[in-house]
Amino acid sequence: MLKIDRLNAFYDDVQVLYDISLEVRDGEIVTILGSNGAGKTTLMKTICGVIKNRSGSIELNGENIMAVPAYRLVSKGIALIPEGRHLFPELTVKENILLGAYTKKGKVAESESFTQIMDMFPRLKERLNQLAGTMSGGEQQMCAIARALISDPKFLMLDEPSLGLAPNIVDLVFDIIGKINKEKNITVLIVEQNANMALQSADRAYVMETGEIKMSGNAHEMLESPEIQKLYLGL
Amino acid sequence: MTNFLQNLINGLVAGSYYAVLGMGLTIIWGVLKIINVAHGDFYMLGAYMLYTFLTMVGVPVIPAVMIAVLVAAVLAMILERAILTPALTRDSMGNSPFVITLGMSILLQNFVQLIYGERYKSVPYFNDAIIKFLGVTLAAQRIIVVIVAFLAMFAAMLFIRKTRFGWAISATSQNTFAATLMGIDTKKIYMYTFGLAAGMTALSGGLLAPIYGINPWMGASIQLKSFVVCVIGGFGNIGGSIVAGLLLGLIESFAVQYIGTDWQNVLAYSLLILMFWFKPNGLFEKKGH
Amino acid sequence: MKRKLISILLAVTLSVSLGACGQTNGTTSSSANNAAGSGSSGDTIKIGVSGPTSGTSAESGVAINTGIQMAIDDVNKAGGIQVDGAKKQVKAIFYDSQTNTATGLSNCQKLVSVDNVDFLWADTINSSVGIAAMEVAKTTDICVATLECVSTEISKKYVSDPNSYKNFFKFEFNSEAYGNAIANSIIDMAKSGKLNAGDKKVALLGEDSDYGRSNLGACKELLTQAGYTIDSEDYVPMDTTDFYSVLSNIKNKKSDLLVSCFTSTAAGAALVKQYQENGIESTHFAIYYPSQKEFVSQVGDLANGLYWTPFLINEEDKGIQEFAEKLKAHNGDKVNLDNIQGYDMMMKVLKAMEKAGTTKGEQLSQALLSLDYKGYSGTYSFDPETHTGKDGADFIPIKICKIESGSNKVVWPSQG
Repeated sequence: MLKIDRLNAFYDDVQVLYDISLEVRDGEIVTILGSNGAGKTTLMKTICGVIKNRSGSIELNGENIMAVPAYRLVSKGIALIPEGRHLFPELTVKENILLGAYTKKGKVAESESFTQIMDMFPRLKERLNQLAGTMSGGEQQMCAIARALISDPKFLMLDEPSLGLAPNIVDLVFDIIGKINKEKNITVLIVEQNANMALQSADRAYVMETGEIKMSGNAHEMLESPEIQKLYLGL
Repeated sequence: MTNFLQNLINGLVAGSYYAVLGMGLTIIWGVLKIINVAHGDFYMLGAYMLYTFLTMVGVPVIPAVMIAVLVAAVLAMILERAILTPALTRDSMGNSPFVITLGMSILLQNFVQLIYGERYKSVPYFNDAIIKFLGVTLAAQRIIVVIVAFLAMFAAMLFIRKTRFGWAISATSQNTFAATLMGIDTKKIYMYTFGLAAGMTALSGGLLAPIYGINPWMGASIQLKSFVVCVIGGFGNIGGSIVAGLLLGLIESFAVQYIGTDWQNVLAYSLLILMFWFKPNGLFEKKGH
Repeated sequence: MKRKLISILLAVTLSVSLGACGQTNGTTSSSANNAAGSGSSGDTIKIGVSGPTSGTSAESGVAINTGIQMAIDDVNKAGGIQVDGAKKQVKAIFYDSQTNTATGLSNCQKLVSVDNVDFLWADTINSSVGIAAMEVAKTTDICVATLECVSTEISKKYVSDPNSYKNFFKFEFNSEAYGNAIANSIIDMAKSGKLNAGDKKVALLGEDSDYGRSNLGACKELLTQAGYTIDSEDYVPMDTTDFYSVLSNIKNKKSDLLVSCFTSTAAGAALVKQYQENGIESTHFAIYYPSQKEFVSQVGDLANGLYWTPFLINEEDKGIQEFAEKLKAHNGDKVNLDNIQGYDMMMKVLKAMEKAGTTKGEQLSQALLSLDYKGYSGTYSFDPETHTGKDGADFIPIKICKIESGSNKVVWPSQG
């Protein structure tokens, strides 16, 4: 699905990503771990084209998407749920979700996608006319996910989905991620600080530190690894 | 009593176009996050375009107004796309948008002066009827101004609240990054928003031209008034600008009666200062922030 | 790369625009004489002109410059002026004061120290700029004059220090002249029954400028002395075109007479239109703005019944007709107060230079004081006590006329 080869990125003249190479195969859940400032969010932004000063290659199903402007990615089947959710605070939940389908033709509100999503998120269904900015953190996260799903993406990226959420909500979020992956066959890339949850849900994992990839491997193996346990699991 | 009514009507008429003008400026602020210093000059451009098509070319009134609005909107979009957006979307925040729109303003004023000369121009009233009721006199032209102003504002709000493109505009104003993720081409949004605001402003310019006359510098006082309306209504607050516009019109009208013309502007600008002091986000602080 | 191109484009466009708006040559006609031409200061007589060619007073400013240029053209065609032993051509250098004091002052400084002009007009019309420009007269050896500025403050300033300002002249009579004329015409016509002054209640409405205030102030004084009451006195910013609130006030007070004074045609035209719209029944006397050609085209029939001054352009007058022909040939404009005064006043200066045989301040001043020049619009003569132009039947007569069926009819002073 996604193949990144020797990706370098710069904020003005400062280099922030060094020779990143990774891949996410169809149907996988891959997670990228690392502490604060490791460059995980920067990587997300670079993939999306928000950070424009970059070199290397980013391929989506064999197609080079480096030249594609950021706003076109949705129509290529990529959806990003950014760090901090970034909902539209003065629009309602319904309007937020429907905007996710901005690039789709036809009456989205009546489509099957919308109904399915409503079934998946009953809490949102209750609050369709509430302003998104007035919801709790967990509800906002649900809304952000719903908004991403309605564009029928093939590839979903999540940046720190557990940030600021209560543990039971975090469980719920990862449940949903797993469900999305299995039932809809959506490939997932998760960037997370909560290594425990991430490794339990993922198939494979990469570890980043100061803009570089330091380690990679099978998620379950890494969960057992004493090194990881010490550095990232606080054990 | 009659005088009160006359002042009320005068205030509402003035207020209606203050509202339209304020709305345009506030929309630009909301989406592009800049204060458009050339705002008043699109008002002026609308007046000149009306003069051109109505008086010089001889097109009937309604098409002339529509063409004037279209020309202003298109020119605004071209200027926005060619000059404004490239400067604003640089990675390093360099150019001050103030300077760029100031440049646009100078450009428009001189362009107009070069082509039409500095002599004042005039266009005839669309309708010469004068309505008298309850001791109040009101020219038909002014009624037209009010009606069209409210229609335009209503249409704009409907557009923003109910259409997909309108949502995209709202979304862009609330969160540019997220809007991009939704597949919204924010550069296009900037362009169309600028064009929409310029079109509304040009519409006011065209409708008021018969009453106030046309000259290259007529945008200056409009710029100031629009700014005051935005401050009172809250920058980016569309509903607020409507109320603020009407309020300003009424205050000015009644101020002349009770305080005298000398103090009219002093009052308006004192209000501005008070606003900045006590309620910097406008009379209507937005919820959800 | 694309961004660089756009920045360059923007910079070029901006500089072209700024260049266009800075120094204009004033006249809308093509006057090749103005081009940066030949001649060092020795061979040509340079006339510096600082006046508004943009902003509210632009219409008048441009017309005045037309008059100035025409006078210069005529003199040049006849061979020039004999000064300092040689026949020299005359050239005008026009700067735009933008109706702004600071700009006017810097224009003056430039004209005097950089362009080395032999005579300076500053300001051509705005009194506030004119007063500031008087300072230049103190420090230079050439003559400095205001052209159409009417403020009495200018004369007062001269009188307060005649020695420092000895080479300064105020060509136009004092502003009260118009205000006085209006007041006297009202008083006379009311007495003779030509005008119905009702309960003698008057509303005053003018632009908030020296011109507006001094004229209406003079009017107020005379009328109050004659037993009239002033119902209201409103001054609005110079570019006002919305009179609805003020007018509804006036209507409410039911004044018998309205006296208005504006230099901006747009303001005056808007006032007259809105005045009619509001169905106000007071008799309207206007100062200055109906003399502008645009006034008629903007107001049309609505001007009928309006009294106004100064009616200097009596189309029946042979002198005026001669000038009109000349003006038409020059650039097709119609005669008005500004172009004819620009012409006459410039011509007086040129004739005085010829009489004095020099452009040096002291001698030229003597010539200006001793020369009574009969121009197309009247005889230009200075009051030696105030260095100010004289008004009156023998000099510049100020007539009041009334607009009836689209044409002007002189009503005062009554033709005996």
